Amino acid sequence: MIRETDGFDTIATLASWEPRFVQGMKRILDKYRAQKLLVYFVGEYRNRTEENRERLRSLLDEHPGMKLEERELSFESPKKTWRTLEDDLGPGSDVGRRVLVDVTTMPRDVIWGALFWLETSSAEMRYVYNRPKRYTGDWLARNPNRPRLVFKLAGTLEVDRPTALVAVTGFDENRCRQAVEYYEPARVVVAAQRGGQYSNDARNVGSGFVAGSIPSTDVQVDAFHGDHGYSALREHVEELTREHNVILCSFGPKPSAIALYRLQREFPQTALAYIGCREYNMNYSDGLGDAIEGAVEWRKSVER
Amino acid sequence: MASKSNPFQFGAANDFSPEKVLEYYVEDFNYSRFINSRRNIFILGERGSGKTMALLYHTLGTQRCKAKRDGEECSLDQIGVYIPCNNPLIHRTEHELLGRFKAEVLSEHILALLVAHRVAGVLDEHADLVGHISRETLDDLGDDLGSAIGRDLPDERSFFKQVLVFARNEILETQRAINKADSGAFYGQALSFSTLLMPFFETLRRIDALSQSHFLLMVDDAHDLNKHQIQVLNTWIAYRDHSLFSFKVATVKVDRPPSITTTGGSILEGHDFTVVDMEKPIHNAQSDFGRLANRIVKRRLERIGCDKTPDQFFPLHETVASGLEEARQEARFDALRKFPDGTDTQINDYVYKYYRAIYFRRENKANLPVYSGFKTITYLSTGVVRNLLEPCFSMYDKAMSIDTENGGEAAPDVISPTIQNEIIMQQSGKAWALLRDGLDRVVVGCSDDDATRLKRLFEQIAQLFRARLLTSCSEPRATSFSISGREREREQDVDELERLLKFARKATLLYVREGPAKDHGSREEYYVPNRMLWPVRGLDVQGQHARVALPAARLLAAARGEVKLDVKNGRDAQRGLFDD
Repeated sequence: MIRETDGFDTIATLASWEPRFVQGMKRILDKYRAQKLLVYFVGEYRNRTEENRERLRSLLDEHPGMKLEERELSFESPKKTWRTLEDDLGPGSDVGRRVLVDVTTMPRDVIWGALFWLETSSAEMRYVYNRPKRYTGDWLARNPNRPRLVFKLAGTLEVDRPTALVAVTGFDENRCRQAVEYYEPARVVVAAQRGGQYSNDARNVGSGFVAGSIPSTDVQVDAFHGDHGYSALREHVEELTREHNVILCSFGPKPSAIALYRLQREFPQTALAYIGCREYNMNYSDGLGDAIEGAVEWRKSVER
Repeated sequence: MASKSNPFQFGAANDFSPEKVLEYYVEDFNYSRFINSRRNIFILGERGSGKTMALLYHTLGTQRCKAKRDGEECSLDQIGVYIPCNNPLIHRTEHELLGRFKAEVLSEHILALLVAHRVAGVLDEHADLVGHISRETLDDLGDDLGSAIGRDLPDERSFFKQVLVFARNEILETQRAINKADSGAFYGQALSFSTLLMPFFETLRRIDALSQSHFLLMVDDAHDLNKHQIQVLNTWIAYRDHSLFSFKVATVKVDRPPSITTTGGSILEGHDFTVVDMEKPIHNAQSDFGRLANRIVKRRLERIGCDKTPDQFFPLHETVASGLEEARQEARFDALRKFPDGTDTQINDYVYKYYRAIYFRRENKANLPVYSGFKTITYLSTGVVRNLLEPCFSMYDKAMSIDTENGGEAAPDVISPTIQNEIIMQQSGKAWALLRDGLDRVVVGCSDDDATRLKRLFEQIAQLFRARLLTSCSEPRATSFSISGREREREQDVDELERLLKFARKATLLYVREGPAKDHGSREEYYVPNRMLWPVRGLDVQGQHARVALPAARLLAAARGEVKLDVKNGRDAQRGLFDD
């Protein structure tokens, strides 16, 4: 288990245009030593993130021993993204034994891909999530893509079982609704973030996106504390796996993606799914809030 | 006493038991009997058009119930096997990590196992129909199929169970293999049509009771298959020998999967398959859909012990009936004045064309017209079964609630025009709310901008139709349109417009029908907005057997908010009585 005071072989992050990306990375670099900084950026947003990536490069002047590698991912090509993560973080890569992943602005499929390959590499892993001060009051993301099951994390689905959807909800009702439209679940567990942070009480979509004819269960989770909702969801997932193909989706706070990954690994018959968007608000968030940190312990090594 | 349970239940047909499918399904006037043939059939239609129900009716389970009801022996000549594709197994993505050849092999393997699993499952469930098979024969069948596919089948109580469990285990084993932490992970023992399905069907022929059987492999939601599986399915469809099996493939019309096979060839309509379009034009109550709707509702009413006709159960409001009659007289008077020496046909045509417009114009002056009557409900469906049942369900529910509140215990034996109108207005409002809230909420691929444009476009079209109704023009009640101005230099406009309209079709707010074009002999597609949009706009949902030709550039500009559609934009394109 890595202690906070240990240094890391690699810190991995994904560049965003949000102010908290650079501010958060500064806080991370001031706190932790690392041999290498692996900065992913999304090709389709290359220009939008260029300024922040330049700022990050400048920050490294204060950390002369740290090697910087910038790597391009693609929203349009999940295959390219997956292969890149495998090359950088998988067995045979030079990611090292101790890795810190900054999940702050990583899309969930990238978080899950990174976790999968680090688990395969048996790397010791910590994560950090830098909360913003506030989100824009306007839309955050829009124009969702078709839902996708995640490579290698789609479990072992049975041909004659009904589908159950476990969805951690956030502020984006469209994506929740599309998950239901697409997978046509026979049951839904709606995990809503509790608390009034970021006007959550008013903005969280709750269970309104589930048609009345589909049996649904409401669960309250707290993705910002403790195990990010893992315990609250565990018994529901376990119960659903007895008779359903279970699909796990997160549309809520990023740390809930860590909780869902843990659940998928514990119940390997379940599938992780994500819905990307074609448009993200340029003013997505503002300022830098608290950091949430934790370690992921692997249950067992991934079969290779 | 009649049953109080709502007979107009609709929704996921997959949840219906064979008994319920048998009870609800109407075979007539929808060409679904084609399914029960040895031809390959494509069944096309958007959500709610009755594709799944048509397939489920032909499953062995439902046919067995039917035989029992009719006091007949269940025949095994045609064995319908339902194969749904809306399973997350089909949505797996690992094939994308592989090269083309391995991706095709893996995709076909999963599809072949899915088919084998379903066929074996159906036969296992109805094994008693197949009769007793000796242990010796069973062992032989299992051994022979095992040898043919190069695997040992698990030791189970019956041959069917052996194949069922084998397919299930194989599907799980395949997933474990492709889940391995290697992007190139593949399943080396992949099976296919020729290495699994053909030997399986050949083996089934050796069972006496199945020696002459033909399997109807009914693939539902085929649009969910990945591109390799679509090609594989097309390749199977191109297989010439239909003695053992044929495919019945249900899929959406919008973005219908391509017809390409794995070898790059194509399957051809008429040659390799026949198409059944489940969405029907409805021009009058005597059209096929009008008669189908009548039978569907009649059967549902019988289920609750009600012997009324649909017209009696959903009566027209008395004032509407008398108002329409007055308008008819007024139209006749106008016609006689206009054509003092006119023939009966001229007079009758004029009355047909204008009397309802006269009525709706008059009603719109004071308030919105009252929408009621079974014919109105049928027209509101726009030729889609779910659209027919949805308002009926809500009307019945409302009537039941009111009866219960008043202490009544009997089931409703009539739905008052007031209740009908109230529910129709609610559902009409909901249809507009779908547009107002944005189709991007419910349609994958529809952007925020697209949703805004569609909202504007439908608003403009509604205003145009309303303006036509309220002013004098030759086809005042037209509520369909075709796209004109398809010249080469306008190709981009047409493509963009059709891309946009596809989202409305996916949301079932717009339907496409085919009919004769102005040019003799040629046919054209025309667009019919869901008629549930019209009541809150005071339009006549019965419409007119006519469509308005609107230029593509104008429609696109209206969607962008650059122009307003007005009566001058539309060129009438009335159809003759026997044109469609």
